[in-house]
Amino acid sequence: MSNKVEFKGILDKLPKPIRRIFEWGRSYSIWAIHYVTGCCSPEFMQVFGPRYDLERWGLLSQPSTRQCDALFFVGNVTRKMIRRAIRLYNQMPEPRYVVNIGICTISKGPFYDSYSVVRVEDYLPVDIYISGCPPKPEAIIYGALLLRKKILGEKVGGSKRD
Amino acid sequence: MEGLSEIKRILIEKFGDNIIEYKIVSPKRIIVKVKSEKVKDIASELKRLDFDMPVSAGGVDYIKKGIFEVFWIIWSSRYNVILILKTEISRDSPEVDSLVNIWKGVQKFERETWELMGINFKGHPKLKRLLLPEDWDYEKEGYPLRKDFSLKPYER
Amino acid sequence: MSVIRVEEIEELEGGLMRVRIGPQHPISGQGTIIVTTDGEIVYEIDVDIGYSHRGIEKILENRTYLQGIVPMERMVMLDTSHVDMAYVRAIEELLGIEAPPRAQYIRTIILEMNRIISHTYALGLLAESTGWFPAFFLWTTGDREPFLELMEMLTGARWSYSFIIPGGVRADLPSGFKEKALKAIEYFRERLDVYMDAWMENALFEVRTRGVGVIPSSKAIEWGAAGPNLRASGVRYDTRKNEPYAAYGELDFKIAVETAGDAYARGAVRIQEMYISLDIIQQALENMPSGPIKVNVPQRVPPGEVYSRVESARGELGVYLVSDGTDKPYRVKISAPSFRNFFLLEMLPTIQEIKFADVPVLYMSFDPWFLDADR
Repeated sequence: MSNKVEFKGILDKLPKPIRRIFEWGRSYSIWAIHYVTGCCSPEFMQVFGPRYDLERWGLLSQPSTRQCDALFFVGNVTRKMIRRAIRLYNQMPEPRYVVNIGICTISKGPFYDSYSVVRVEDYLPVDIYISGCPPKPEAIIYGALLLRKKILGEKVGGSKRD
Repeated sequence: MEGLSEIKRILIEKFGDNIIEYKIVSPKRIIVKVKSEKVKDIASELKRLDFDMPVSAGGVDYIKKGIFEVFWIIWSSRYNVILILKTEISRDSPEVDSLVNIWKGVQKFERETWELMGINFKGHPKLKRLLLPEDWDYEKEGYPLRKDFSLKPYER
Repeated sequence: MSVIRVEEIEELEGGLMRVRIGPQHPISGQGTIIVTTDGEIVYEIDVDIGYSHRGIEKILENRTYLQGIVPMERMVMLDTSHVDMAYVRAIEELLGIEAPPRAQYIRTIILEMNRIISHTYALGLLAESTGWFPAFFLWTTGDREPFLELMEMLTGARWSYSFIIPGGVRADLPSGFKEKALKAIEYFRERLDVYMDAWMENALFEVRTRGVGVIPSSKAIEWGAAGPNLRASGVRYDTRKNEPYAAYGELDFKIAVETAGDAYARGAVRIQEMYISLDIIQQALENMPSGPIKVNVPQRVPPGEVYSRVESARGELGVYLVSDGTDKPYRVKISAPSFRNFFLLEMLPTIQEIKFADVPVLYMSFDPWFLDADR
């Protein structure tokens, strides 16, 4: 999957400096859906706490889906939960991003032979992967800042030759 | 007022050889194995003897012997011991009486055992899907906690 | 996947409606609370769980005893060492061995610190659900940090340690741990006094929680309540006193019991338990014996069956283990405390009248954690 974030509609037709202003504004205020799915959630709560304060970079945990940009999958996702997640993804306005937190969302983790846990990338397109069981708060902050770089159009991940 | 050592005598007097086994494993654990037809009467007698708080319930699959073993775990507030009530049923048509009318708290445990192992509890008010996803097909995939259900097809 | 229609609000006859407070909601967490109401009075509550069912009981049959500690711990992320302790206690009982005394004292310190980490979560959500104290949740999130740092110094991880193994613990206390722990205990004691002052003795909080969801003690026993919910209704049940494990048989502590049975009593029991935990940790640090920290155990466990229980933060957690003589368990049945506590919420509308505005406070006073109920 390509490394660039593409916009459709009226923003494509504007000249580049004005588009740059929209991207700059969007990257400094990423609003995330309040959607906890698994056991990485206590660590995610600690990151929004007073010590590792994620709100200084503009992230906000918001319950209403029509006003959000990003869907954070925090912890293992089961078959029963993924159909609700697809419904939420369809309700978000574009441009929208998906972030995987924890190794259970990437490759099922310690439950690798479970009959009920699924991998997120079989169902939805994913932008950022943060690994760990649970990932340390510094890793979650690094992942959130990486998302900001991706919105600004810089290259994120991949090898040096591309 | 019956003491703890009287319980074995009272149960054997009333039910004879419907009680297959009565073992005191340690000072706070008693295991009672009974025949499946009389499990409801024995349970109401135990409740009269002050075994009143339900703690757990479930089933074990002994595929080599061809039986399911269903167990209920109860705590007594007077004697402060834990009693495990067990019974055996056949694997081909698994059915046993539900003890919901005696101890209300076992309702959710029996529902989960029905869903994951396929044991029918006669007289249960609410046998509905609880834990598995809505599109789980028993014909194609089987019952998860039985011993002939393999996890190999689900490995990543 | 087939299409399944899920309605948000269903209209029933008699003017009633059924509302689903669904899986994406700040109050409910990973589950759905289905409430049948006419707008003011609630007639029926049904809790729909299964959104994080991983099948841990089946997975454990595919792992050896030592490997099985890792998926078993992730059943409840907030107090992982209690789940670990229940499993290890069952294995040690079948093997017929006991861990050395220094290991039992180190286990006690880890278990009590986990209890504090878990109770701060419960109290923060209870205060926030009344609507009067939105900052309280952040106070408790910040005050948990000293204990998470101490755990990282001892075991290497913040939440899930895999530190208690059959035969003892993995490593000894590092140097400097005792001084740091005593400093953290002193800091937390002052914070608990602030909580009592600003919150428990506050008229606004009492108005919202006194008299809400009263459960008499006979009903609590009949419905199978667990943990602080049982102790708040007057029943003296605590596994640390009924069947002592780790070092609890040698330490001196009380258990917290209240008689009112309402939401205020359930919060009061949790705060008192935190004070008692600080005392236990201090006693264990000061009277720690010296000696080895683990013994060697064989890989194969002799056949048999055993039921072992520990008192976790949410209630009694029981493990019924059946072994057939190999190095993997035959059947593990976990009796989770939150699974039993959800039943209380479903039975409450049958004995008293609940208003719709009281549902969040009532729900948070039981301290539910869906991952625990689903396994």
